Amino acid sequence: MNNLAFGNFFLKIQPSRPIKPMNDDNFQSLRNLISLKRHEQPDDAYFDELLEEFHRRQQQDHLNPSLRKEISERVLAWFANTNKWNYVMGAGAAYALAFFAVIFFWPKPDVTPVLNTAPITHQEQVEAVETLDEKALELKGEQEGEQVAEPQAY
Amino acid sequence: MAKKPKSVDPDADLVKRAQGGETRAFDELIMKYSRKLYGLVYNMTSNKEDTHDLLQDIFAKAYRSLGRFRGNSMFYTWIYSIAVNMTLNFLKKRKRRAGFSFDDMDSGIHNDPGFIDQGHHSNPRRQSNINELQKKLNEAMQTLSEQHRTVVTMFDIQGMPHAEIGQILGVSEGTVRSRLYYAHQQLQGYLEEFLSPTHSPDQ
Repeated sequence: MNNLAFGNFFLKIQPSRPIKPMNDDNFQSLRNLISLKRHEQPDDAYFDELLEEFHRRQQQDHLNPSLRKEISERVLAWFANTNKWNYVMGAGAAYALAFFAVIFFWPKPDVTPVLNTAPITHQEQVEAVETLDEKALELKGEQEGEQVAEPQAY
Repeated sequence: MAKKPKSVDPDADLVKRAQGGETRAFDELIMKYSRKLYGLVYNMTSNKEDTHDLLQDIFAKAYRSLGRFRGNSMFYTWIYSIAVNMTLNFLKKRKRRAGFSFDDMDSGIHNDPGFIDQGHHSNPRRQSNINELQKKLNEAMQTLSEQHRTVVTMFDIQGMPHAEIGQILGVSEGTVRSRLYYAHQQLQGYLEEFLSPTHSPDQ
């Protein structure tokens, strides 16, 4: 696919905008025009000062190093490497960290027995009273039976 | 088929000395490439102050990362890649500023052979037209996306070959060519008045 065909492909997928096809003369004129921007440069004194400022900043960084900045740059540089194994290793390290965090820091369930201090309902009260009444009757019956069992004198 | 011999890095000695802790060697590297890097960053940001700050950050990062440079590419390609990536990251974060601070810039456009006419150089109207052209070029560049502006800066302004641009940006040569084609189409529309054969800075 040559450049013109590729360019037409781009024209089709871009929002409609009238763009004139570029001929060789226009193309060269445009390149000459753009290349004028290479002259937009400051004078030599600027670059001497640039170097001196760089030295000043280096001295300042040496006195006040930013650990966070250094670490973040190193991490970004490591991931900027297009080697896919870096991502695999990074994901593995993240999973391992998450696993150990769960093991050590997940809150453990409390197994202490808890007494039932909830108030009893009316039905439970009635049942409890009936049970006591039954026991009281049984006890009375036993006592009366013992009285009857005493031998009577003739 | 014989393997293409790996080209020798002209900065290999300076890099080795800088990695050994010799600061003067690193200073020489900075001075050698600072103009090129300035041109790259300025033409992508069109802002003098941003360019200045970015250059300092680029040099600082290159200095910190120099120990990890293994010589798999030329030093120039390596530091250029750092500059491109940092500038692109900056542009993504930056909010669009009004105006371009090139008023204090020493423009050498009037000394370019492509721009010199045989008439009077001290023509105020001519100077005014040059300033207008400079402003228009900056505006035209800002209409491009960051990706397209990068390839135009590297190819049209700094004269780098397609292969080298592709290596720095991590894309194929075909991608570089297609981006350039589209960018030129966009710029042609914006700079049409300056491309007219009847247009002259002295009008």
